[in-house]
Amino acid sequence: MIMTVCIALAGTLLSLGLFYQSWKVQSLGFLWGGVGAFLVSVCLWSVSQGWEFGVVYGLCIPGVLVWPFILQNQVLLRGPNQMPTPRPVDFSRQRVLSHLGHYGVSLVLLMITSVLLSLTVSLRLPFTIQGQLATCIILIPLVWGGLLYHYFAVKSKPKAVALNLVVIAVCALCLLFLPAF
Amino acid sequence: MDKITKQNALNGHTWIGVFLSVGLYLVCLSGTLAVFYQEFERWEQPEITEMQDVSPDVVERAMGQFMAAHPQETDHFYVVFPTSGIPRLVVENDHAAYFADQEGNLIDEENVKFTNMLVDLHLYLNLPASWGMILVGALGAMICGLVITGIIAHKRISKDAFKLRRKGSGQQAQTDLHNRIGLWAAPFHLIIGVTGAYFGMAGVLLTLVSQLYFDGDRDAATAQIFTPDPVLEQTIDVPDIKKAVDQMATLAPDHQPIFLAVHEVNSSDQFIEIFAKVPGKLIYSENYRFDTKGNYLGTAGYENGNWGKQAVYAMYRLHFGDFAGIPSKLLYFVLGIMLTVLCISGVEIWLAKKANPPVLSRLWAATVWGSIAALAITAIVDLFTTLPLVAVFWLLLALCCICAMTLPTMTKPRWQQLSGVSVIALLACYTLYHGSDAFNLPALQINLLLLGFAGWVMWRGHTLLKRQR
Repeated sequence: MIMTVCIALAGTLLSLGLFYQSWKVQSLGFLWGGVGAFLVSVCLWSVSQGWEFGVVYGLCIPGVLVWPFILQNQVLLRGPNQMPTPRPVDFSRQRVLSHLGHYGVSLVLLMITSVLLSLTVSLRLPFTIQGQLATCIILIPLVWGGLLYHYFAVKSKPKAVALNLVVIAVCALCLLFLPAF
Repeated sequence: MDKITKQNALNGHTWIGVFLSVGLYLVCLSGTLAVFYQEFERWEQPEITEMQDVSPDVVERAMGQFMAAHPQETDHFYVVFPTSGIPRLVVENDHAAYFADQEGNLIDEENVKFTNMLVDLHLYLNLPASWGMILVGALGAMICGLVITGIIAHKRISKDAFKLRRKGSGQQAQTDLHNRIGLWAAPFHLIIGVTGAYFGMAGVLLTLVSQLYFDGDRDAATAQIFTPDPVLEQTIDVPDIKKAVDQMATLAPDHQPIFLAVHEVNSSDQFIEIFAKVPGKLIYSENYRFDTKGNYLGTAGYENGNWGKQAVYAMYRLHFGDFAGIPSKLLYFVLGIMLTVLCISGVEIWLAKKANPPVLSRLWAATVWGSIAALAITAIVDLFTTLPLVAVFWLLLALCCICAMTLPTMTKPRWQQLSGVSVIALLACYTLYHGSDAFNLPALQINLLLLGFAGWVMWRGHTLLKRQR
């Protein structure tokens, strides 16, 4: 067990080393080598710990092991010559109302959209009901995150809200009138 | 990607990160600590007898004594086994929980109010359970949104992948730290975001599905994922717990029992269910079911069930890192600290871009470091009083915010020092209260971490103060 863990750790370190080298010398070869080593390291973790734990370890451990490479490359900057004067924060009524609106949209409207959209999509997938519901549960936060990006990216917020309402209406119609399960 | 796309993503990233910062920070901080909730439970009562395993006879004796001492009406009885992750034997009903020793004699009542408060802070932000869970679930989705917008917004994602520029005004260091953590720990953040959203959204989804397809019957919808209770018709009798526990050695010799539940107590539907951890799998457990007389009925079918069923049942362990003992917990703890640092540095970058408005900067420092002080003081209050801990914590946090708004001297290093002093005060009070038990394993494994944190944060505060002078 310890042996296989050590080999998997070495695989992760090797992949990070190759990524680091590709970054340092700007080489595509090292980058692909790093990607390959990373995939192999996930397999090694899976062999060592079983695939369920192995995938988690393989994906998460680089986030910890990368720090020696980052620290090796740290630079100390000189102190600033002058400190800027603090900029005032806008607490005008219009700004406050607009932020409250963003709260409403991002926490409530987008939740409704993401739940309905994820359910509509997952119920059309060729899985058993358990698989469809599990897919829906995984999709909801990802769709919600994507919708957040869309909402804040578009210039016209009313248009974004209107688009969400259209999506909600279409999904509701699908869920109500198309057979599921 | 073009500049406008990146700028739009950055706008979204900033809004989510700044305007939900307090909730995100408190959930991340409490979640990081809650990785060790079992260790915190042991820490709260370090004097309790610990054991590695327990025989069926001892379990029966402990439950027998408990039933005799607590005859009040209950829907459930529970036995938590020493193999659950907490090496102690606990017997409980819906109203009270008691520890038992190696002979099955009842000892102290379980009293883990602080841990419960900490876990509730993570699960519900101490709000009413259903609304709080939906809000915290929404924060899970926000983490996914932050990962997506953060990666799109990163202008030099590959060029800066290994850069860390320290000192200077501090802004570049914060930005680099934020971006490096954000990039390299992104898979962990997505895991936490998706599994965190599950806890809040599962109820919403269940309600919707039950209304749409099961005539509003939530149990029928739940039964699609979670195996429903067996339908039994038996004479009412005392459950034969010993016989059920005895069979586990042959039914699942490599599965560690977590806990035993007696459902539908004193009814013809009464049955015994033993939850056992499945080696190498992320599902919470496989559940072995027995009738009142201890006859084996079958499993709930998670271990070899449909992949969808397993995926949903794996959310808990995947979220809390409670799947491979201390190694997985330590990994989640370190990555949890990084996620918490990500929340802090994100807001500090935003404040630095506004050239650090004094009141807002102090308020944020009070939230970050004051909440740690508030948690430490809440734990002290729990040692000596029976005050409601939720109220104590939030009052203390509100007090910190008021101090930050009214006292210009309360800058970040002062808050850091205050949180360090509070943790040291907690350690002193804990030692005073528990005496020599404060130096046994259940106490030391948390106390050493707290001591290390207190030392680091005091040093950090001192260094920052010196730099400011």
